[in-house]
Amino acid sequence: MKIKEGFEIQNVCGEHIIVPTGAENVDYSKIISLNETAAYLWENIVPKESFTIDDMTQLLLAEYEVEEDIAREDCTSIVECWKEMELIEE
Amino acid sequence: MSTGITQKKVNNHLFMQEITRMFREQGKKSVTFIVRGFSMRPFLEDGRDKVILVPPREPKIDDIVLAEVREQTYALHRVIKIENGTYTMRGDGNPLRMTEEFTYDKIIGLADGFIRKGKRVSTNSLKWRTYSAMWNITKPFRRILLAIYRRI
Repeated sequence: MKIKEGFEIQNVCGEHIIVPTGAENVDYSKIISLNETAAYLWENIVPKESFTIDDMTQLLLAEYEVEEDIAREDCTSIVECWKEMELIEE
Repeated sequence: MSTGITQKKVNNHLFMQEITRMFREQGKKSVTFIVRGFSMRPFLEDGRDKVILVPPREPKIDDIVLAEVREQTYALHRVIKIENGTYTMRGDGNPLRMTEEFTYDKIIGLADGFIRKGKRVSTNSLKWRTYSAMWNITKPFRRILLAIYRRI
């Protein structure tokens, strides 16, 4: 899977938000806020042509002290959530 | 991890800076956001409708302008008077005496259109121009009209 084009991560008022950003328009009416960890994952998977839950789990393990199982569970649930918000394509 | 859709309120001042940055540094031609407040009733409803804002230019009468009207206080209102480089605006839903003045350098942007109840209305459209004309004609009865609107 991969992150769809047309989204930009911004830091507004100390919050990480994803904003639908076209070449001309920025739409702040449909922003998605991310916590530190989610923002870290987002920033690292956006440049990838494609990524898997495994890739995300490895990213978490590299940065945080966390059990692999828990990391994988969290990654799965955030991917579900991003899919629901139509941020991810297969 | 919390998910789901909620409305996020951001600090106005920082948000205005962000809009300005999008226009000046990122060269964006428009910014869309949800309006807050009741001062542009009956056309724009708090938390429901959106405005499509374009970068600053010389406003004309009846343009809807977002400007800093006092230190870190912003309003998106209708221009009703232009005199010696000072603009006067008023919210459609505000009392006639409640106006704000500003100069060109205080402009954040101008409304190019709105998304009202999910539908796009351009400020060039007949619908918007008719609404503006009607709203100006009914000025003497505005208090009554707004009172009725609040009840329905």
